[in-house]
Amino acid sequence: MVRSQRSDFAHFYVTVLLKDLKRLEAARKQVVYKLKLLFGIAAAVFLTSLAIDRGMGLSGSFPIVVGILLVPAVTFLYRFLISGYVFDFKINIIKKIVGYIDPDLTYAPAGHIPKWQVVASRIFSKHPDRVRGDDLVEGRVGETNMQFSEIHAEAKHESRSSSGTRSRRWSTIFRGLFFVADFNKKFEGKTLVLPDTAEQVLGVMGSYFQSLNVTRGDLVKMEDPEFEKYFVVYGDDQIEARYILSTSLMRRITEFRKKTGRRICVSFMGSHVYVAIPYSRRLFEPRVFRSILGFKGIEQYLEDFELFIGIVEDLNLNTRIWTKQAAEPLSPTARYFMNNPAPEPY
Amino acid sequence: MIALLIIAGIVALFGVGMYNALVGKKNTIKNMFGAVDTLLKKRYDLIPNLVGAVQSYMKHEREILTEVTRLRAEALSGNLTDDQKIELDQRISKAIGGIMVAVENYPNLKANEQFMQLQRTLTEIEEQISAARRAYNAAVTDYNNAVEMFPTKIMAQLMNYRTKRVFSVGSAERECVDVHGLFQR
Repeated sequence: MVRSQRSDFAHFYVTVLLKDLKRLEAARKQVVYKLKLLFGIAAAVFLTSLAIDRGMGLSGSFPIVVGILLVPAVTFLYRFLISGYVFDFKINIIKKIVGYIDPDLTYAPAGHIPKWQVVASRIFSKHPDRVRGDDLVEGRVGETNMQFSEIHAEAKHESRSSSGTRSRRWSTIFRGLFFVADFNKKFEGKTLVLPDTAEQVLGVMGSYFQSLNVTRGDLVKMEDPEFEKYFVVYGDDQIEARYILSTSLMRRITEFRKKTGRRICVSFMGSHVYVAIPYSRRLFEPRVFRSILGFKGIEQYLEDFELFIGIVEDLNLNTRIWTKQAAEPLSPTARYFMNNPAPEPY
Repeated sequence: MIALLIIAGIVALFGVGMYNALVGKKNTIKNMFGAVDTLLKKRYDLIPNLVGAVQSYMKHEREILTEVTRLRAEALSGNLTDDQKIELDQRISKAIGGIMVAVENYPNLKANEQFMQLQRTLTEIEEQISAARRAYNAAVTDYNNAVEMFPTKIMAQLMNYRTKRVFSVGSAERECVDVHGLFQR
């Protein structure tokens, strides 16, 4: 059962979270002290390299080399120094907030929606070569199995210079929240609901260019003008796309789009619904350089979780009046990640 | 002379393009109507099951059951025009809606597992029919736009293409929507 009374949460904050928050605040201060030390040492090393460079009359290349070596070293040490505190915060605060919203949900701090599911959603036109992420929440909300996590999907670019040295570069395809749930209607094809850029900018001509985007499937023109203003729909079956996107679901997706204020993407594939919500800020991470004791900051985590868990209600996935009644299980990703920690830190 | 030939060639190419586009749009409509028709037949096939499931409970609603059976037989008799099919479908929707309202008076029937399954199948088909109608309407709108807009309008007139009617929600259908409200969609 999803709870959402704010006064109730204030009580929960005082009685359950505050004791741990105070302990974590002390840990945070220690971490900040160590980080200041780290930055101080790094600055000292860099300044020394500058002085050496000047003293020996070098051309300024020495501090550049030192800088190139320092940046990854400091980044690595920064991550190492905050990791214990971050994990402690997630296990003791974030996990409890998830449990407060719904005790039946599982939370895995290091887990994430796996790459194969991101690929299966077909939301992104580029194939992701690497998907990292964290903060996986998984469970059953009413009649619907769902899971979501923060993810960072990247594409790999390898190039070879004229001297023969290989270089590898990663570019971001998507960063934000990725949500998967079992859909309440049976269907076979694929239907994509993507943000409408062309039509907003180019008007009728935009619609023409959209119809040329054959790699995504056939353009499905919907009759809801507000929905069409925000989204463009591609599918391989005109009727099935409309069967999935009933007039009420279109309205619900539009409302959710307005609620988040973000360029969300939705896809319906293999009996699942996928929702990708882009975020530039990291979700569910503890503050490092500011106090974590304030209620407002903690309430933000609750609001984020409620928004994502609320997708099930917002898209009316619990209405099981069609022949597909029983919720289909999703892959037990959280359990996998609890037993096998993520190989690459995020 | 060459310039004239090039212009004539371009005009001819445009003409062929417009002709093919219009034929394509008309065939899409035919295709979509076929899909609506298939789904309507699927619903007709469920009517005997529905009548069979409810008739032992419904002693006072014999009339409506007979009516829906008669309409089904009429729908399956063949030789119907598209407009007649649409009209019959609206009457069948209304009759099925009437049965569903009457079911509310029979708690035992409502709790019957077989009936519940049937109800879910019917709801699913209703929604599929609605989706197919919307797809048909989208195809008709696309076609009508081409028939009425310049320059395809000229070609449409030459081909004697006229605008087509979209599926409108009749009064019977609106009553049917109320029935859906019972399921809190």
